[in-house]
Amino acid sequence: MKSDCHGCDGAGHVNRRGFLGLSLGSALGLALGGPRLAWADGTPAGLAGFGQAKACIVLWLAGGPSHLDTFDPKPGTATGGPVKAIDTSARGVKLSEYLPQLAGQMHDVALVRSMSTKEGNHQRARYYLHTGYVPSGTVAHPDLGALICQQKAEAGFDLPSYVSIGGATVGPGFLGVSLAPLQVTNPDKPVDNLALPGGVDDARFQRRQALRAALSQEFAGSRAGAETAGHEAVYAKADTLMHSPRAKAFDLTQEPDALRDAYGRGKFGQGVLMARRLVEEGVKVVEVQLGGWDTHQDNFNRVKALCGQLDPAFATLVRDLRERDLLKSTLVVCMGEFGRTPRINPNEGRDHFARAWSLALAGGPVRGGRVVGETSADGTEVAKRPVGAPELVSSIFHAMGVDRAHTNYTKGGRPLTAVDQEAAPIAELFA
Amino acid sequence: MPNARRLTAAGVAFAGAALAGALAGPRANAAPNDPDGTKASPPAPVEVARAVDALMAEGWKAAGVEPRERASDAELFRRLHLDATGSIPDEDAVRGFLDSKSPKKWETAVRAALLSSGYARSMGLRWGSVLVGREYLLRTLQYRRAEQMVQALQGGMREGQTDGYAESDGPVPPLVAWLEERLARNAPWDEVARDLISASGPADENYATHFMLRYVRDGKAEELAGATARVFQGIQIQCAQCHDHPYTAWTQADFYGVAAFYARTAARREPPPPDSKRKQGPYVVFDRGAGQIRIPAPPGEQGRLILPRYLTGDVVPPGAAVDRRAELGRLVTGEKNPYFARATVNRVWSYFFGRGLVSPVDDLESTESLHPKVLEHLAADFRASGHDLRRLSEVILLTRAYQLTSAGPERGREPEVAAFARAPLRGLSAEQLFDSILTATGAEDIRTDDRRARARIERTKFALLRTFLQTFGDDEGEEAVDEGTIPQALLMLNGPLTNDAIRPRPGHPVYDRLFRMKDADARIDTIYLRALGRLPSPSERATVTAALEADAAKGPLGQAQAYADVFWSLLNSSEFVFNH
Repeated sequence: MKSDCHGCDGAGHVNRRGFLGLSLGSALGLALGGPRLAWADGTPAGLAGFGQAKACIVLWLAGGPSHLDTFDPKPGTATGGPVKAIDTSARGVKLSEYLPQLAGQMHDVALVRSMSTKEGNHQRARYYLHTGYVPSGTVAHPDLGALICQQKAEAGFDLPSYVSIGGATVGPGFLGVSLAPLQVTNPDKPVDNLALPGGVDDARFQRRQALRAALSQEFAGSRAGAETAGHEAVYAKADTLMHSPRAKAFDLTQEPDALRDAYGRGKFGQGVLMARRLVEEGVKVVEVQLGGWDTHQDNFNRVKALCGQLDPAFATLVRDLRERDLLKSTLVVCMGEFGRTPRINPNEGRDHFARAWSLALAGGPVRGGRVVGETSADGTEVAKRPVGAPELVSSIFHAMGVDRAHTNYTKGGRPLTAVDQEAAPIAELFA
Repeated sequence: MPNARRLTAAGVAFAGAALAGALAGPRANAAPNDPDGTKASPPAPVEVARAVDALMAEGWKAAGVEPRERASDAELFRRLHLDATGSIPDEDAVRGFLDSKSPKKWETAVRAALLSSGYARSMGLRWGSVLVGREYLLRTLQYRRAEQMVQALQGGMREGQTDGYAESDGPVPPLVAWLEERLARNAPWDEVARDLISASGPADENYATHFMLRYVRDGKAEELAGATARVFQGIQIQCAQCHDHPYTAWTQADFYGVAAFYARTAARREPPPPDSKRKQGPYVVFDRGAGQIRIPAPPGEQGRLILPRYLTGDVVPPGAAVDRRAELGRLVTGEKNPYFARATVNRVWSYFFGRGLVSPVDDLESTESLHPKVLEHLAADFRASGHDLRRLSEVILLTRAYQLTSAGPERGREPEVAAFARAPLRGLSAEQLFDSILTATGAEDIRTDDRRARARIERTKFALLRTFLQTFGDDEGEEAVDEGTIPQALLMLNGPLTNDAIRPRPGHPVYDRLFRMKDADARIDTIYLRALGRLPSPSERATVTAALEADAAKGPLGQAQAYADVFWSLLNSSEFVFNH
């Protein structure tokens, strides 16, 4: 095992290799036991679509949505509950009746119905799906947004390259705060503190900034270095953002009412619309969060209500991007941290379930209408083609043209590749 | 978390001198290893510091670096307060220190800072973050219970050390409250470690259980092995959970040998109290009568059974009667085990320098220290003192290395900082920044006897603090270079805390004083002392005077706004947002 461990920074990543059965299990081990491709530089030779996506929007369904009631319906089974399946615009692909608008866009949306991840705790699973690494306690892994921006953010771009709407993401970990997302708490209100405080007009703000610069000179001069220079650089960026014409991307009032209605007037729908506006302006990664999927009780009513927000937002996003000719260059990933038990508990709820679950992807090089993998008839097992979190992260990097072998060094000086080098992109999504 | 009690902490600096008698340590009358008092009394902290100075000088010579000169009084006093109390010092304390002619004024200031409630609070937060992580602390934030305060008061706290507890009504994570109480009365640190490792019972009664809960609640009891070794021994064994350690000699059997001490540890939830609206009662940490651990094996095979065996080679007798965790606590802190003192010294050193003598701070085996003898000397003194954490801090603060300036040319900066020959620039944590803004602007001097008004202020403060914590993130890297983020800059530039706190209005504790002063220079001095803990240089004074005069024609409001702008400029300067 020693030779395998290039950068062990914690408990998790080695047992992926199927050596152990304790915290990560055999399904994943088996998945990796299959045919494996080898890449010299981390880029799959011949796999189409590398770098076709220029931006990535993550629709994060916090709490873990029930796959059986969304992307993998099982009508007529004991585990399927009362949810009906409906036909979609992709031949042979069925969705839950709770997602009627998305059904109309499925020719541009692919599903992975064979996610299998073995992390059943919210925080750990959220970390795993965002970083591709199991939480270890000793190293804070960067999330995929930070890793994409590390390689793809453009110098001189006057908006933040990574924006998180409606909730915190995992963040940049040891890569440091310079790759942290800009947080937007409520899309209906402008970015926190972007506007000048009451009683301060721009002339006064400029006077203040000039005074600040003058009074900073002695200290910064006597302590020249990365910290003081960095402080000034970040303040300059903040000032640029405050005065950037692109900052209007945060202003949803510039959108027609009909389109705002189509996305859904809730925080999530408006956040997804903001994501589209940001991507249009050149932002690289936007994550929009919709919480509430932890449906231990009253699962069916709650999933139906949540889909009432997810369905119009996701479907309108795909349509809107297509109409603006942005779909080919924008990857959309819709997922939670795990699925939910096929077994329906006595509270009409479903509990955490990481063994078999689903997620959806669209845009960029993703082939619409594809379905990767499948679950057993009752949805309790992956029947075909199990996919782990590292493979998902690897696929996102492939679409975004991120060098998967790029090595960062932790604070302890240990090397860590952007994603596990044995985790191949899900080829069926692209070929 | 800092909280309401911060309000009373800032002015404590010199008042603390009256408490100097309380500094004698956890075992004032008899050294722990010397119950009969037959051995010579331990050397004074300042003598230990001088010995460390000599050893540091050897290290500097070996590394080929020259230490920089001593920092100015102002630079040093501000650094001391940020490091030891969690906030910049208030104006009166700064004036007192700068004006003092006493040759012992640094020693006096160090003692006072270490006796302040800010010491226990800020160190409690740091240790809490190390033990369970900031995310867990935030998740468990709750209002301090009255009974807990009473317990703290009855727990042997000394007269005059109780201010922080009696007045508290701010929210705090239970584990931090528990640590604060130990830090305030300077409980021997080996005892604290044993209490944490062996903690059992309802989490709402024994707050120490949160160290266990953090892991067992998620069904990850085996991770306690890694956490215990990391925090209390400075050893990384968690890699060996999956495979033999790539860099050191630790094997999987070593890891599971430690994990086996926790194999029976579990948590359950009590039923809710009958009159409660809650669906579930508190968590209870307990040990099952049986339970064992095996090295995981491939599917279909049974892994090897591992019995409790500590890294020192010690084992415990089998059987249900043995309290495995109590036994583990003794082994972790035992006489034969040099790692406990080393790990604690390295950690405490990192609190004051931003980096351990060995870095990473919790991996003593990873790299060679430039100053190996310093670590050993401090560890020996720490052990001999009965694991007296306050004494350890005092020794470190009295060293020459701590008192060096951060100023100097950019050339040579990195090697000098790496060798502790020049002080680093460290970004303030969210709590330090928040509390320092309150101290600088006088917002924490706003007092009222109206309980409801008080509660409203507390809620507002807490909401603001949460914003700060979110904006300034989860950065647990005490070793990070922290230049900040755009949202942080926006929060400082345009955010409510900075701008509301400096807005002139009748009754504002700072402006009321400023405008009673006739002399413009005295006003500028006051703003500088409050914000930066120093007086302005002549050229800075000229710049500020010019800015004030430009607004003088605008009448009283323009004048007040001009002072607010100066305040704003200083709060947004790199000098303010760094500990330097």
